[in-house]
Amino acid sequence: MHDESSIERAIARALRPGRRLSRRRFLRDSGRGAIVAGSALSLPAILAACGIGPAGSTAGSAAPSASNKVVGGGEPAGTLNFANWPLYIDQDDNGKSETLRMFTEATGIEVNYDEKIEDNQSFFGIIQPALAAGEDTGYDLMVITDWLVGNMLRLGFLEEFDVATSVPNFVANAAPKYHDPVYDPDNRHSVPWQSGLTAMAYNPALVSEEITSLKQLFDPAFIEKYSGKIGMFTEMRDTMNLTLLYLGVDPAKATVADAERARDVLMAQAPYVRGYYGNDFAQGLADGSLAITMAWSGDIFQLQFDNPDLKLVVPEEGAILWVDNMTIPKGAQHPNDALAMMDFVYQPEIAAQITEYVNYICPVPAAQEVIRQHAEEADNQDDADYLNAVADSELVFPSEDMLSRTYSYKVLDEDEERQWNELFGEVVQG
Amino acid sequence: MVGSAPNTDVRLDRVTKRFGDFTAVDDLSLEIRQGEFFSLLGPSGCGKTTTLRMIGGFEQVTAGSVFIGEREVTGLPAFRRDANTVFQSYALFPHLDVFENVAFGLRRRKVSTDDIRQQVEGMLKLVELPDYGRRKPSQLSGGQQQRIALARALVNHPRVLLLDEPLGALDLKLRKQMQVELKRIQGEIGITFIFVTHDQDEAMTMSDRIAVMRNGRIEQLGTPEQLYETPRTEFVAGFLGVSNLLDAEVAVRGERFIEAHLSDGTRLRAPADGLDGTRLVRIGVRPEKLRVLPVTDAAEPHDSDSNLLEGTVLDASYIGVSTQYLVETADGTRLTVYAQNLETSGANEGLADGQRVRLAWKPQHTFVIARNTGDEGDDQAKEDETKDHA
Amino acid sequence: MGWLRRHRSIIPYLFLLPGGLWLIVFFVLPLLTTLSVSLQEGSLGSGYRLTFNFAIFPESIMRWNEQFVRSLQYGLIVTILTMLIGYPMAYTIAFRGGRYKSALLLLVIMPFFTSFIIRTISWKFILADEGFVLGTLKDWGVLDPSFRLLATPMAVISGITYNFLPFVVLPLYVALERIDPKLIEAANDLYATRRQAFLKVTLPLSMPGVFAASLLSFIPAVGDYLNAELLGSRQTTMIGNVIQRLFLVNNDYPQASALSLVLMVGILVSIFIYMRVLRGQELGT
Ligand SMILES: Nc1ncnc2c1ncn2[C@@H]1O[C@H](COP(=O)(O)OP(=O)(O)O)[C@@H](O)[C@H]1O
Ligand SMILES: [Mg+2]
Repeated sequence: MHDESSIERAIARALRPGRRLSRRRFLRDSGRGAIVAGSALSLPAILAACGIGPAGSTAGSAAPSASNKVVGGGEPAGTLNFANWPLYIDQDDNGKSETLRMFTEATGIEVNYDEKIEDNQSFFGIIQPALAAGEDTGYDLMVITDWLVGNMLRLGFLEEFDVATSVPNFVANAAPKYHDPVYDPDNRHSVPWQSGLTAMAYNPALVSEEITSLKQLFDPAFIEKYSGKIGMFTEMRDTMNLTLLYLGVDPAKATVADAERARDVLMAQAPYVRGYYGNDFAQGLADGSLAITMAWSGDIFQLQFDNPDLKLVVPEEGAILWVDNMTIPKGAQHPNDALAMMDFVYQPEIAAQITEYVNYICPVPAAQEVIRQHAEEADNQDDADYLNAVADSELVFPSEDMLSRTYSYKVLDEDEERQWNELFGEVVQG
Repeated sequence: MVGSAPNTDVRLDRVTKRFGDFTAVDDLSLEIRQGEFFSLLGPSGCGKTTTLRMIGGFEQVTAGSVFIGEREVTGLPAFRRDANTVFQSYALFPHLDVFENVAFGLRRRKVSTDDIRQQVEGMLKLVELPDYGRRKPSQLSGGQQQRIALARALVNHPRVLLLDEPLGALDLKLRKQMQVELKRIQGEIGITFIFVTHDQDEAMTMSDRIAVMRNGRIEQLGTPEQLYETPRTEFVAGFLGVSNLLDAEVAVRGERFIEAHLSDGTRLRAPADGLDGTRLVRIGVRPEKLRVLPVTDAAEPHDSDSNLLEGTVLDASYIGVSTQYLVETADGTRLTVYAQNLETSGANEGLADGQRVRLAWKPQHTFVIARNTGDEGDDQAKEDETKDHA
Repeated sequence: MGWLRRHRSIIPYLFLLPGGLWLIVFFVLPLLTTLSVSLQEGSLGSGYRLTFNFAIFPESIMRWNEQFVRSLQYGLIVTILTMLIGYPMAYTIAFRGGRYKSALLLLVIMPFFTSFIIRTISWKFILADEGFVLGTLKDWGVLDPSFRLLATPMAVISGITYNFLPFVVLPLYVALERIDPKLIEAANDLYATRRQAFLKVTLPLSMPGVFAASLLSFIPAVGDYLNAELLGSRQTTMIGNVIQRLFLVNNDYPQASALSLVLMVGILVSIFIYMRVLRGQELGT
């Protein structure tokens, strides 16, 4: 798997020389990990054998060894096993991260940084057996998306910590929006790593109107003339939640009946949809295959370097703010080291350093000024232009107004998740 | 376009075949008569197969024309020629049974099913494999495959049958048997056979006429007897059987005979026909035509016409039906003699090594060929050929 | 050693041992696991229990009937296409390749030197609606501006055909290469035209190659999901896409395992029918 993603990285680099890359471009697609993994017919069988052996089968009865103890407050052990998504931290040409180097320098903690997570679901499939059996997963810190935080919380798979004492930089520097999220009240198990918008984008060269509303993505009467050039997402949560916004439903309060209505809307839209995309929607938008599409903000920010005309729209009805969070899996061996990392990256200087590289929405507003400063100090015009573009972009540092129009994914319980998956399966695969 | 004489089945007119720079068949002309068993004989690489393939249509001529019967077939593909082939490796269709192999040509020509069965069965009877129709070729012995290949070709009643070393893959005993068989079959159905071989014995026993080929050309064409008794070139003399050749100069040209002198002055007579004005010649005589006479026995009666030559016995070996002597003449030429053992203790008994003898033979058993130098290479080729065979 | 010498007849079975073990560990066991998983109920979070839920098989077939049929259809079309394209290629290389044979074969397998995924992704670049090929043709007015190749059944079928072509050419080449050219001459000699010689000799003799090649294209084509994923649309969803999604997105292991097994059985049945038909034909000639 690692080989494949490095091949893709190499191709991407060849196609976009000198540009920093966002990880979502390559790995948002939940199917992509699968493409790499399941190229032989019998492989799912093997995966099944690994993923849910006897341990998995008995998991239902094996309640997590739930000592409701709060971690933190102790001395770091000097080691941190950190699972993150590929290309989701600053890296030089040799793949070395300045942030990690500085962290080790400042704290004396050695970091085993593992770009292990290609997809929330499949990563959960990997660590679930250990968690269910009450064993250590081997990781101390992992970056997972908000809804999975909610799910794992419910299953008792995450360590609790006291954010005020253990991650003071978060309390001091994170934007208000990130405090006390619906999926993890009071941030007792998570603090954001990066976030982004699930919204819509269009190519004005192919679209005559200005696009402002989700109606222009869902209403058959409107999209008929863009038939075959409409793009949607293959990720169930993104598409279902955005559709709920079109229906005027706050996703957090959505019922199964709402989800069924969303399915109906999507089915009515399906004949005009070219495809249900992962991060490859960006290519479709760039090469003119897509006129109007669902979009992730980070990708549009990247695409605009090549085609400044492309537009990201936060629709009147609102958009989804997804948040990838740092969390500590239950039974982690080095929780104090993990908390040290959480606190470390909430320094504006460090947050700026990561954001300059990954270009997603930065949870630390003060990083904006740091990046402007870096632009002034830059030793060539290209770098200065680039850094200014990052600092000035609403897609990296959104306004309060913009953030106020965003919603979180609904946190689904097990039954709801199965039902939503079934409903959405009808949409994307017939 | 000139048609062939009515009794000609195949005619090649100044046919040349080149592969790139290499000339495999060189300006070759040939007429083969109806019903004839005709052989192309020569060392390997001399162009026999190529010639045959140009008749069959598997190879197109570079220059010249090919006729089958009265019809010019130059340029026609194989399936439009009234000729069938027995391939050296038989080339039976491995996916079809024997019956379907034999029926293949008939089916292509839309013969009715009943006729096909009748003809195929008849042909399998002719090659003496009547009950083998349902076998696959891989279940047959080499000899049986050979017969099926023959049946498969003959069932079409072609004007000519082309056979490319068809017996080459069989062991000696089976080969002898098949030679007889082939002759029998050819006699029964009367189709013209063109038979390619590098085996002189095979060609001699089976053929009505033989063309001896060398370097893409016909060296000599004639009946086996003509080729054997009066070879016209040293190559033919050497290729067909063993010959004794003596360097000589023509001294007297008579009407029927010439007289030639060896370097030691010995006079020899030979038939005059077929010889042009050449002065430097070689006198040839086959080993079995020679008689060995003791020098001492001056009173030995013999035909005064006979050619006489003195020499020394170098070696005598008794080989049952005959005794073979090696005799050296005055100028150092070594002659081979086959003396039939007519009596258990014959006149020649006791001829010891080193003994002086006289060799005697009739002038009409003598042949003369023009002496040309630089033929050593071809003798070499012939030797290789015989070795291959052994 | 002495023991082995006394029980010589056991030696051939010893040779089977490594392969046999391999099959047991990497085929039989996973297969049994798949079967067991398919009969379980539950979820990844709360765990799975074996409930012998055999109803899942008919349910799966009914629910994904359309995708099953489409996959078999695509597999069939791809097999026919690869054969129509691959046979002439293999034939030309085997009989007309001369001294360029190896070079031509190398060209055929050349695509293997880059990853399957990368190749298919580059198709997306090449065939994009406003990309190099279509964009240019549209600019020239040759094509209607709304014309597209991607996200159509044709794109998916072409993609699979392209990706499996080498698997077809190689066995066909091996089969054709083994045919003695003298046999074709013999057919010509027996009044068969080129066409008849091909139909009556070359084609039947290459049937083992055709059989191997068609299986090598049909089986992976039916199970393929990458091409539908990258080049297709909702309307081209194949059963592989469904399994993939159930497995890795929905984490619905029982359903995914059940579908995998149904697919396996479906392919085996197709092959069985195919073999019967093929054998019947051979008897017919
Ligand atoms: N297709 C060909 N290409 C090039 N050379 C050939 C070809 N066929 C035959 N030759 C050459 O022509 C010569 C005569 O070949 P062939 O007729 O097969 O000889 P023979 O049958 O008398 O042994 C040989 O030197 C052979 O190498
Ligand atoms: Mg030959």
